[in-house]
This record gives sequence, structure tokens and C-alpha cells, in this order.
Amino acid sequence: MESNDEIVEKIVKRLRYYRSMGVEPLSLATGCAVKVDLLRVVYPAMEEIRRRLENVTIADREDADTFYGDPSSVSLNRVMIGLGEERSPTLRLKADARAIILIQIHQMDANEPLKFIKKVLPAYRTISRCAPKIRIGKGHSIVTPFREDEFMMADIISYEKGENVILANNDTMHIIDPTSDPADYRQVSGAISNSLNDLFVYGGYRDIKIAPLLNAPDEGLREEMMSNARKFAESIGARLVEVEQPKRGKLLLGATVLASSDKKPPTFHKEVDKGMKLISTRPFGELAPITVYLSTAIDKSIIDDLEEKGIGLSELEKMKEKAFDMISTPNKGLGEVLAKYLPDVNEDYRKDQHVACATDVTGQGILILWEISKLTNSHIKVYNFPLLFPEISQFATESFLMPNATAGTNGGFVIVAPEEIHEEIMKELSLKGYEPKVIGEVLEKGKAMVEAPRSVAKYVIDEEILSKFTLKG
Amino acid sequence: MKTIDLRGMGCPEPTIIAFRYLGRLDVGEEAEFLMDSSECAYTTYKLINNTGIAIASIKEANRVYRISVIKIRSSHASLLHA
Repeated sequence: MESNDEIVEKIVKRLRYYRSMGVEPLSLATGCAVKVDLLRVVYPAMEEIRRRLENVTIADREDADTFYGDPSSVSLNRVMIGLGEERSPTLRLKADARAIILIQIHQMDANEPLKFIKKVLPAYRTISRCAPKIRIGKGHSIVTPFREDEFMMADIISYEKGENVILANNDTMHIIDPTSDPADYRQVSGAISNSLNDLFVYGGYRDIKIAPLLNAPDEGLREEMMSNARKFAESIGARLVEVEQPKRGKLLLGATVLASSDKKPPTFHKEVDKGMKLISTRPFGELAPITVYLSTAIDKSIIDDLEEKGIGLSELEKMKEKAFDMISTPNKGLGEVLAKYLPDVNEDYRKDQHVACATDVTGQGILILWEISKLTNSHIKVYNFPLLFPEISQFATESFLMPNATAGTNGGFVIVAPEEIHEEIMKELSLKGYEPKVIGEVLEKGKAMVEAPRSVAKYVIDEEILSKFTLKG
Repeated sequence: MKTIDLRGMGCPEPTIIAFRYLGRLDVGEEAEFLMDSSECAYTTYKLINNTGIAIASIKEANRVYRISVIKIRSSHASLLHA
């Protein structure tokens, strides 16, 4: 068995390795902003960009782009563009298309809408010339400290009309577990699963296509990651789309993903009603053990504090591994179960048969319950919020290591289901190997409010988050 | 008041150290953190104020960020037992 010093030395070495690849692994612990500020920068900038592009429409923020089409006709072409200059596009389609956009922009241009516009508008102009009309269904912008790493990735989706729902999404991150090897299969598996989660939560799990976005400073690692992506696609019966990679800059893992469904997505917020149950599909808070484990490399006194609580470092390492396994497991089974309880595309919602809404629990952790309450304008009573390792989440909070120790990545779902069918759904989830629990219920409509047990305060330091909850009991 | 010099460290290490230090302060105790990364300084400032258990202010002079903190509550334990 490794000693504490050996474990810490191993973590420190790994941190140095990630830093050499341009990734700051500790940013995971502080929840540092790797995304461009939506409210202050992206939204005002996009308002202006919308006005300046005639044949481009940009959708409001959605979890996934959703449209009707024929799944067999869907194809994806990637266009990579540098920021700041307009150029002739390599792709010219005759029919209208949709696009999923990812922008990586230097941090100095990411803090003001005008600077942001100046950098990204020429790239948007290039995209606008790829098809007669383009609808950008989903986009996100991440920050880099390196000028040479800037790019816009546009995945142009062409399709023919049809009666199925097509879902598209992109999610990208620097790393999942910075204490493990980047070539570890679970890194790529977790990053792509995280992108797929927004499709599964809409009941889309068929005809999955994965266009990976994988980058690393050295070719060997990039190849290993690509091989992991192929293995992952095969494991879930998906098709891997061969697309251009940025081949510039530092570590990046993610994918644009597509799936189809013959069901309406679970966004029946108005149908949420008194008596409906909130079901969790598994415990949450999987980032807590990774963050605590990582933090021991900065402050060794954390190990003594842990031992005082009766938790050894090697035990924490096992917990961290369990969390990493969980993050890297795709939630395809959840999509399959959800789809059974959604109305067909030509059918109306029925309270005795269908799930009203569902959402995945990721970076915001428990705050998602407040989001559900707001979206559905309901008073929700939460009985408990199951955590993977409550003692570690509590330790992370008490030790001031995480502002919100309920956060996760590629998290489980919270499903709002009518009382009539909730037990049946839970049985189905159990049969697929999940750990469903009723975690709350809708008390009444017409007032957005979440009542939660006082114990929630053990896992969250951020007062702004806690202020959203009425703590009782 | 104790001053903790976190200059020269790569972001977000100063944030992690300052946040953890906040946990160890007694109610009413003050501390000051010096940082040279604006991103790190503002993340720390926001993170501490968001807790509601301390008040932080930030000043910059010659690219040195000075974050002054006073702890006003021990934790959210009061919420657990109210």
C-alpha cells in the first residue's frame, strides 16, 4: 500500500504534467470560470451579432438543439476557423443548415462584449457563407490564456425534412479527473458522456453520432484519445464521425453529439402539478471526492483533518476512483427509460402516462431543484438530496475547499413524474441498474419555492445558493 | 491583522489557499491577501463574499491586488439548528 507521502507526490507530479499541457488542474477546485461570462459578455454580444448577420439566426440558450428531420439524412461537416479574420469557407451547401458552435477565445477578449464581438464576428461571417440560411442551435464559448489557441469550431448539420426529433449538442472540457492520466479511457468517455447527457435527458438515444473534439499538445496523446473515442462510440452503438480537429493549443476533450427520438422532449413545465414526485436516478456530488483528493497536493494539513474524521488518504483515493467511474459512465439507459414515458411526436401529453420534466444534475448541483421550481412555477418540497459520499461533501464544505459540494459532471437526472406512474418508472430504472429514490414532491402550483431539509447547509457554503431554499426540519 | 502574501503563485492556487484560510479565521478576525493575478484576486473576492460569512474588499495598486477580509460568522451552522 502506498504511503500518504507517495500518494501526494503522485498527485503533485500529475498536476505538473497537466500544467505543462496548458491546463490548470486546480481550477476544478475553485470552479474557476472556463466559460465566457454569459450575462455580462455573451448575451449582449450575441444580440449585436444577430443584428449584423442577415442569413443567420441564433437560438436562445437551450440545453440541446432540437428540430424535426429524417435521422437517416443527417450529416455533419466541421469547419475550423481562426478568430479575428473572415475567410472563404471550405464548405458551401445548397440547402439551409443548422450549426453547433464552439468558440475558444483569449481571456483578454472574453471580458467585454465589444472585444468579444470584434474577435468572433468575422468567424460568424465566414460561417454565414456555408449555406443559404443557417440556424445556430447551440453554442458555447470557453476561455484560454493562450492567444495561439483561439478558434471557432462550427459543426454544420444538414438534414432533410422528417417527422423525428433530432437532438444536437456540444460540450467540451479541459479534463475530467486531473489526478488521472489524460490517456485513461474514462477521461474521453466522461467528456463525451457529458455532452450526450443533454440528449439522453430529452429521451434521445437512437442513431447516435459522435463528432469528437479532442486536442492535446502531442500527437501520440491525441491518437490515444481518439482511439478511446472510437472505443467509446462502439460501446454504446454510436457512429463516430471523422472530422477535422483543432490541432492547435492545449488539452481539450469533448464532442458534438447527435441523436434522434420519436418522442416529444420532457419540457411540459406547465403540466407539472400538485402531488407529482421528484425522482433522482442516482446519488450526486461526484466532484467532491475528486476536489478534496486534488487539494491535498496544495495543503497537506487536509490529510490530517481527514484522518481526524477517520478517513485515510488511500480510502479517499478509492472514493475518488468510484466518482470518476460514475462520471465516465454514459447515461444511455436513462434516455431509454425516459423515452418510454414521453408522448409520441404526434401525441398530446397525458398526466397518467408521461413524465412532465427531467433535467441532469451537473455543475450547479442542488441548485437545479430551484431551477425546476422556477421553470414549472411550483412549490417543491425536497425530502433529501442524495450524495455519493455525504461525509466527503461535508468535509469539503467545512474545510472551505468547495463553495458547492453537491456539484457533479455527467450527473444523474431529476425526473418530475406524476404519482400514478412514478413507481413504475423507478422499477424500470432499478432494472437498468440505477438507484432511483423519491427525493421530493410538488406541494402546489403558482409559486416558485423550494423547501429543503436544514442538512443541505452542511454541503454548501455559497450563501447565494442557500438563499434559494427555505430550510426546514 | 495578518497579511498573507500569495504573489508569484499560479492561479487558482492563491484562491484555494485564501479560501481555506478564511475557514480558520475566528469571528471578528481580519486578514489581508496579496495577489498579482487579477483573475485570481477577483475570483477570491467573489467567492468569499458569496459565502455570506465574511466581507471582502479589493484594492489594486501597481498590479498588486489587496483583498481585505473580516469574518462575520463562523459558518452556516446557525442554519442547521435554527
